[in-house]
Amino acid sequence: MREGLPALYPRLWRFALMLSGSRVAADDLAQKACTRALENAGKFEAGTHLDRWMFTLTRRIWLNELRSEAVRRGNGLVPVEEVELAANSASSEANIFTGEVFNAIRNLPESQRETVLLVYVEGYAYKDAAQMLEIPIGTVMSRLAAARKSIAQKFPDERA
Amino acid sequence: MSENRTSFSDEELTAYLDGELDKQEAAQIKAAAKSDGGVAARLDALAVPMKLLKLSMNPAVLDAPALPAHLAGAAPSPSRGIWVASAIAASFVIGVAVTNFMRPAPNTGWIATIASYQALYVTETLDGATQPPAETAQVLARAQDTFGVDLSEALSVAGLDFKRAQMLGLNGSPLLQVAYLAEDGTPMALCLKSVSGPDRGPKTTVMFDMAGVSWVENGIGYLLIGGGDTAKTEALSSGLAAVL
Repeated sequence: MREGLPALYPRLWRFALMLSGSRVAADDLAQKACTRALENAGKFEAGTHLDRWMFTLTRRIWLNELRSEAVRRGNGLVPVEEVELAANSASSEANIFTGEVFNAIRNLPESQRETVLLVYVEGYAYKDAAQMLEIPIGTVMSRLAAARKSIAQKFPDERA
Repeated sequence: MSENRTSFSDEELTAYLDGELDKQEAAQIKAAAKSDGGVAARLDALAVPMKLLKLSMNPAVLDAPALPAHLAGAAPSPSRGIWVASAIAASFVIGVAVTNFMRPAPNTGWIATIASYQALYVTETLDGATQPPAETAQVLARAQDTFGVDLSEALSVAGLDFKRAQMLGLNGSPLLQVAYLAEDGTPMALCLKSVSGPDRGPKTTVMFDMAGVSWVENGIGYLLIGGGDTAKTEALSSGLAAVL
């Protein structure tokens, strides 16, 4: 497990960023997840998917331990600061600057954000994402459909 | 199912777009999209810029941190719980301080962001584009005001066919982009932005399969990026550095 963690960490952190909405909270959550994983290394079967185990663990820690605290402190919708990009140009090209898409994802409801992250960014199949998120596969589909509609509205000239 | 279905849910259309349907179902929707404008329109309403989405979420662009040192070392055992908790607390405090202190992100942050944008360019993006000279002059004048750099010579450098100059912004700070096509049609861009930190000589970074050469002079960060040929980009960047 110790061998797999360094490569996995930036991806876990990115997932934590999508869950929590702030870089500082993401640091906290990702580190907590790794610590918990190392403490429970005995429960992890070598040869099974470390990444999926860690994504599931990260999400559970967020939901069960950190989320209510963060929401109470008003961190639920804190924008992801220095990743914000702005274009001063009036050209339509500016609309496709990476920041616009990132903002579109950031403004999705948490349930859609986490699903978009696992399926569209991480590339997991619906079935695997459903397992990690502990929801039915139909829910994965409806979250993605809703997310697609929200994002598509902001980028009218796209081909899927 | 062999009947010609004409109504599909958004969920089914989404599954189709994501390649999650079996061959038969996918073929049904594909056929329906061709013959039925309504289905085609609904697919359009679900279309998102996937490549751009993935680029914007790349860990380098997000400046994702590496695994903290204390977690890469010996695995903490449950009996050392207190030690672990205080080590985490300490690193958390350090982590916060480092994040704040180092804003804006070190070079990789803005370079990765520009690279992710440049990765979207193809020859056709700039081919046939000609910027009116008055507009170019205006952009260059603004760049001169903003950065104190005269870029007029950068418009006619051997090996780079100038196409367009525009002022963009990154993290609320002005960013100049000068777009070119190399002789073989490869899209290239020279970007300028204010950076903190001392002067430094050219450094090559490969990101998103493109070679980028960056250097810092008098508080201005320069980046020439484009193409998969590192040596070629390095040669072009020396040519540019000489006239700037």
